Amino acid sequence: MDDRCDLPDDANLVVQTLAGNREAFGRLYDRYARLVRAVVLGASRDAQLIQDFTQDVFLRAFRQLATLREPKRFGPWIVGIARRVVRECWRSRRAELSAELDPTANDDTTARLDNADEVEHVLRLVSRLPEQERLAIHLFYLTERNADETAKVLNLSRSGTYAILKRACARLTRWLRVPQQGPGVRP
Amino acid sequence: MNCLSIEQLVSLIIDDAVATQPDKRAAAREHVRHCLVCAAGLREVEEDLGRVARAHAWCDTDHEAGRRRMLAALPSLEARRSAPAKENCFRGIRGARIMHRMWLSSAAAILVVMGLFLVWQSAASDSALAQTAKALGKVTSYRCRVAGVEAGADKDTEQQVGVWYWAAPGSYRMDLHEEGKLVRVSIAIRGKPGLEIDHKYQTYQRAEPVHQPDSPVELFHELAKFAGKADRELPEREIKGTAARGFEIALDKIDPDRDEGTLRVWPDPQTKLPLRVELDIPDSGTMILDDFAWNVATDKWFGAGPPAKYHDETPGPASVEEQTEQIVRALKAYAKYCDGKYPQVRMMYGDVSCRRLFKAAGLSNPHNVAPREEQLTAEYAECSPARLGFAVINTIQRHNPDAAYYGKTVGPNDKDKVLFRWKLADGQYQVIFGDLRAESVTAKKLQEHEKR
Repeated sequence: MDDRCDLPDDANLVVQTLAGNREAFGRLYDRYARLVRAVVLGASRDAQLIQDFTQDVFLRAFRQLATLREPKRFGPWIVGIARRVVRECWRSRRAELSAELDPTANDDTTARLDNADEVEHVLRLVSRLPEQERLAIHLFYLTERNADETAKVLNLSRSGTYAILKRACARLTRWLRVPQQGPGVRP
Repeated sequence: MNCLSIEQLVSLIIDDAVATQPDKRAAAREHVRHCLVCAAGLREVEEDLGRVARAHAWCDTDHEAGRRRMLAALPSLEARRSAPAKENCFRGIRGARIMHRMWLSSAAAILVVMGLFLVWQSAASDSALAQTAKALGKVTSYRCRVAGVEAGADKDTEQQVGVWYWAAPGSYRMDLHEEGKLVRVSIAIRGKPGLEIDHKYQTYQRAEPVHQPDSPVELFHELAKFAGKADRELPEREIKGTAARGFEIALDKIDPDRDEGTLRVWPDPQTKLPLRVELDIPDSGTMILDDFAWNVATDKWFGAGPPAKYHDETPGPASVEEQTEQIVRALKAYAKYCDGKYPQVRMMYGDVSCRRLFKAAGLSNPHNVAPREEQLTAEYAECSPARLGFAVINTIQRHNPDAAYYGKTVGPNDKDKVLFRWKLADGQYQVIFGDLRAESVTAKKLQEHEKR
């Protein structure tokens, strides 16, 4: 989500990728990998798995890129793919993930997130926000609080984006003050 | 002013980034300055949202390593669609599409050949070709092997091999093989929904019915204008044990809407049916069709459904607004760089029109060269998305029986003439005029417009 206006926009990068320019797809990765990671965090707390899911999302996107009807909407489109990956993961690995999410589970051999509890707790609360609010929060904080970029990906006006962000932040603030409502418990 | 709610405290922080409602923000800030409770509340909210921001910072973890890994995985994906090696029309996602079109063109070539024979029959009824026409006129189905060879490569170095099936009045199926394994099946049935199955990735996409396809059948209309003379005779060669004389002809003589290219055909001297067909497209490669089986049973060709457990990747329908926007953008770019004209064709082939546009704009071939940083000029930014718009026109023409493109007679100065129109689901017609205005109209209104 590079905000430098002299860089090609998403639509151009999509077209260049379709024309065979893999570096253009690398730029799309630079713009959206953080957002995808935030979304797929809902599928696992294992850092390596999250990287795997992120890669899976981008490879699926690459494979299906020619079917993207509106290239300028690459951002919301890849978020949709990420959410599908998360859903598939929960369906196919429910038991395994349940074990992963068990705080008493002993999985020292698994690569874990640094500061995992705090990051997981916060991002898990974000993941419980209504869809549009969740996406708005991710975009806002992953673009160094760039409201214009957030509005662009959400396809909303600036004031509409602001209203969503305000609502989401207020909700998160309340949830963050209830420590007993940890992962697995819907606030 | 009363003490601030959490929402109002959040506003003070978010407002700094979003910068809306400055008056309200100033009043609230003034209150916080004098209210210890709200000042503490604001610090708390700042701390909470700081936690949210810090948690997101984690998302930067291993970004560069992930990027390298992802890019390194792309060639294997590209490989499933195409042969590796130098860039040409067989490469990448676009390669898959162009490949598909080349396959269609190749099949079209077969029917061109049939058509040629028919034309020649009337022109010279005692020729050997005329005798062949009689047999070809009765063909109701055929199957053949199709292979692609990269531009400049030896004809023996086939890159992709598949089997092509065709049945009257215009249904076709293409099976694509890699290393002897069936990896992709494309089925298009005249007037009925089609299907694309990707066995490698266990996915499928449903396709809209084909009404006005890249169809071989369509070429018969063009053949009526064709003089029926080959550019040159080809020397006799042995094809799978049969000595055959061939002929060569430029593809655009048969259908000027198509790519520049050359068609070579070697008919069987006994059956008069083609033994081998080659279609050369400059800078792209050659499609070879051989191992023909004529008038064979078709009952098992088109009935396949999606295999169980395969994932449905059928894309959602595009909105009329999206389609119109993409079409208008493409036509506008074309007119700007191509002497104020729209593509002067009846059937739009996206890669052909785009190649012409890129050439006129002084850009590299859109399909054969991945643009480098220094090539990302304003012209490139303007012309590159045009490919999508042309592809949209082609898709509409193939799938919408009421679509018509009038680029041969309508230009930017014909502001009230219909340039392109197609029927919408609600019975209305979407019309793009010569000046690229767009409008949805009734059938009656369309008739009035088309009389102009």
